[in-house]
Amino acid sequence: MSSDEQPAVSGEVTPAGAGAPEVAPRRLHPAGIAVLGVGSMRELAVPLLVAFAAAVFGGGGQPILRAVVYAAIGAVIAVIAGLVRWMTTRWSIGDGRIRLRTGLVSKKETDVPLARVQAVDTVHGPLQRLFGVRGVQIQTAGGSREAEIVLPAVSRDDVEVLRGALRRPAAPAVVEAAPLAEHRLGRRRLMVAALTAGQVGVLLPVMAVGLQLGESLWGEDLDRASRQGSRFVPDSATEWLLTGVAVVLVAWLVSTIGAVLGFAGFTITRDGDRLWVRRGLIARREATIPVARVQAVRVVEGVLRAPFGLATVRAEVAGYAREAAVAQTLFPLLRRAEVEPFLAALVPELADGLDGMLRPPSRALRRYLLRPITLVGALGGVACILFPDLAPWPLLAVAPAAAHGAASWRAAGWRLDQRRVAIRFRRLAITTVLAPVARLQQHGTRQTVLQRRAGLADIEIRVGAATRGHVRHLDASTAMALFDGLRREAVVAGGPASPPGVARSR
Amino acid sequence: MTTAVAGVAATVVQMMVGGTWAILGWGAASVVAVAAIVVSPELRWRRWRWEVREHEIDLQRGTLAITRTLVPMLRVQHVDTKRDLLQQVLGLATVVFHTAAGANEIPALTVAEAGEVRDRIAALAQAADEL
Repeated sequence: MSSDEQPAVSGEVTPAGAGAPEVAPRRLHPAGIAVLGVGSMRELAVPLLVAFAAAVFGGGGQPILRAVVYAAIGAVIAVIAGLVRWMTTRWSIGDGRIRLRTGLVSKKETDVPLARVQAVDTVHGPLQRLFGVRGVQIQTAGGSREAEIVLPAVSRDDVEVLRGALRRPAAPAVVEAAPLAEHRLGRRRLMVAALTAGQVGVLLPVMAVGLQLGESLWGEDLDRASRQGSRFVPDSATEWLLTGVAVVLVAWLVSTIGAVLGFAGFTITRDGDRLWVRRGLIARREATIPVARVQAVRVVEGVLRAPFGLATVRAEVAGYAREAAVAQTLFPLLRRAEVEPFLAALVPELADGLDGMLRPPSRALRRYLLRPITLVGALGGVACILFPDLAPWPLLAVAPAAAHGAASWRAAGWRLDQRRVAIRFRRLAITTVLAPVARLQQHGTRQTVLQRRAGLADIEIRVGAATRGHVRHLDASTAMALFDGLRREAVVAGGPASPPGVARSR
Repeated sequence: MTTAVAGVAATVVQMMVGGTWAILGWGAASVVAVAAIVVSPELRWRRWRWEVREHEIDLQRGTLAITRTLVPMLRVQHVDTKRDLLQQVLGLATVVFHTAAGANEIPALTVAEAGEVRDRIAALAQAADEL
């Protein structure tokens, strides 16, 4: 595998374009009327809802009849919008390029050389399934938020035509003949993955909002409740606790259902120089990831998963950073010990172990503890002053904070061997970043005044927009050695590594 | 920013405790303000170092916490200069260079120098890509 992750960027017609069939400008499958119509409905959802609400709640008359009329008007608008968008959308292949023309008033033409196409992804949402068509997304190397060409409804034959036109004939026969490595998510794994999908980071804000909502609702009700003598309002600590538990349970249930829908039937296949990911229950998604564009692997041991030795494997894919997470999860749930064999089978280019890390020195433990303890202690102190009734209790939060600090110290580690770097750190989840040094976008050190006195320093690496790793409080000389080691591998023909000499002013 | 925080804190102290503590609070706030307005920018400016080498860009900055960042030239995608209103008045410009992982800045150079640095980084990044 070449270490050059840039796609072929040349003006010439490549073999991929030369051998490709020409496709005269054609419309989407007629099912596109429905798909595009629903799409425009979605864009208009808010104004429509407002109109609907106005119809139901505003003024007298027959609210239900009015609502029905408005809904009908909405549906008609959707059909017309879908029809217009369908009639004005045409795609074609020719001259080694794929073209998309769309728009009635403001016309938009997208023109992508076939050689630049990175992947052809398909989506079968509920609507596409209903009509037996596929949505196609054509990805190029550009870092834009969405796929460069989106065809919401294409017949199966046309999908094959597109795939055929965009397939690169470059892959040698030897690779084709190699047995395909494939990994499927079984039903039991799916359940475990779904049950542990809830990130505390996601749960907490939901919980806070829920509690606040409850408070404001019940705050209002309290007057009425006391007046009426009835109470379905929590007024004791137990009831508040129960409410909290209920909110957490609901949030957890939502995240579980979401994960089941998203990850059902998750299958990843290595096919030559591509990874092929399929997943999803209602909206079936397929994505192809060129292996050369996988910059780094992130192994995330979530809060609910780490105690059971379970982890998720994610990828930093160049050009996909801000796009659908479809392309980012390499596998939703693995045992820790299975990660290395999994990577070795599917992405040997990036496979590396999770263990054998070098750790921050034991004198750093104090500093890992100090920050959370002072921070939470100060917050607890303020809480005690503001709510004297609760007096010593908020200070108890220091204990879990300290435990988290100690856990962060235990998790922190790094390894640099040959041309690969591994960095492990803990925020809430433990994240291990595995990357070839040649793929680093930047790296750096950081040292505060206090660290300087203790002879400690932090190190940070960035592989992509989403993949960053840092280890705090390494021995300062170790951090400098790591900085220089990364520099030697990442920078071609690096000279002496003295700090920057040019003062910023002249 | 720091000055504003110190001022707010002093106000809070005055409202909640009052008396001698308030005077002490305002005193402390003034010290912080002097440090933030007079001393800190000078120090930060003096500590800001950067060097554009053939294969890498090396940045070092910070007073209380010193951060050093190394960006391989091979990773630089594009580079531009920007000038906010204050910089336009003062005849300064900031060089911003982007990688797949985000942007880094070399702030407040003279316009001529910023232009030179931008062109130099662009040329070196181009050369690194052709390697």
